[in-house]
Amino acid sequence: MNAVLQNPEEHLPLTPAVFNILLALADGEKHGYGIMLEVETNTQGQVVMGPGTLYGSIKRMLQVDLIEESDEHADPQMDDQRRRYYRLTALGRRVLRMETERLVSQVRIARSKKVLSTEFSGDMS
Amino acid sequence: MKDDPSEIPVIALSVRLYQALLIVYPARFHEDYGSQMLQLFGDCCLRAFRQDGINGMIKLWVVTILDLVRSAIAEHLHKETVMTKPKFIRFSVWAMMVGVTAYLPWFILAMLAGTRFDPDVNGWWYILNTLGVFGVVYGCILLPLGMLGLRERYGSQVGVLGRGILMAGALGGAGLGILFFYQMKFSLGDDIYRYYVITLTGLTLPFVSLLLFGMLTLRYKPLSRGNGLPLTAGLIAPMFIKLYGLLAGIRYFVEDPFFIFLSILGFIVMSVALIQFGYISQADEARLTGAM
Repeated sequence: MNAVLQNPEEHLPLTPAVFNILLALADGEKHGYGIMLEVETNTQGQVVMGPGTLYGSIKRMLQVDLIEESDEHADPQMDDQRRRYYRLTALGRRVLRMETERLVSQVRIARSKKVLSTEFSGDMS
Repeated sequence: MKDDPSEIPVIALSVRLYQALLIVYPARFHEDYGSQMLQLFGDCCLRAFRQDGINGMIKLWVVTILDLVRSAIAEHLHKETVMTKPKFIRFSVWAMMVGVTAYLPWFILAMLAGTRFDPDVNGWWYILNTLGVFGVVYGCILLPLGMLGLRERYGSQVGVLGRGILMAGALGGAGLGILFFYQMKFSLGDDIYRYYVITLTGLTLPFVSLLLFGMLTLRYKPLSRGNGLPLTAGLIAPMFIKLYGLLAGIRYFVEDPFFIFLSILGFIVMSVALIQFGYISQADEARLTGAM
């Protein structure tokens, strides 16, 4: 058993890679390639993670209990290869929520300082 | 998406090459994630080849090489820091216990060699010099290392003050050890009093910080048991070492048998307390990480 930081605040702020992986897993379990595709889509290709960065982040997130392995099975939409799937833990979900709230508060500050263009001035409450 | 990557030569070759390159990662990481990374790279190859042919493969390789270099460095650095923290604690506390055990015979012999009961003081020199190496290694390396281990283990429980005290003891011990070597090399013959002061102050500083740390362990009780042990170890050593240093500086040899006996007894008590303290720290750490 690894020593785990159970207080969500101790994990903040998250690195872009960790935040995007957590966000990719927010709506259900995914395998490595699925996470990579989702992150690319969510960030419009701005965050491109290679296998080393992705699995390095996954390893550290497993160590601190932000995610967990679910099981290993084939992806019916891809090929017949068995793939290892990952999902959020309760701690990971709390950390994701707190980080998102932190980012939203930063955006609010940016908006109050009129940093954002009108395109981004929607309601964030 | 039902293509088999192994049927497309450029992809099959790329996957084999990537598999060979995975050796740059630490063995444990390679073992745990190598097959998944290879599978993921195969998927990326298939997508890149479908979207942009050979050009897509070239772009993918550029991105992959950069990722490989960056993540391999990160994994090796991570392996040396975060992953080995429990190991570092266990190793450093063991080092401290071994160090104090090795230092004890030298201290006892050094004390006896200075007495008038010794039939031939010069006869001790070979043994003393040999065992003295343990003393120097203990004072300069093993004890400061042990204090860094204690700082890692109990740092969060004894607060900023406790962490600062242990760090000061470790840095002070190591720093004065360096001064000791400097003194040995350049001016031992000129001023033996300075030699004593530097050596004994170097040995005393970690114990003074252990003494202060011991006060904090009595207050916060971070150990599962034996919270008075650091104070016991810390209290006795500065008292005797410093006293001996001052007397030795004045007279070179302390000949009072009572003082000799008291010093040896004190040092044995200090060593036993330190070893027992180290043993409890090891057990606490093993209980926390689930491994011994």
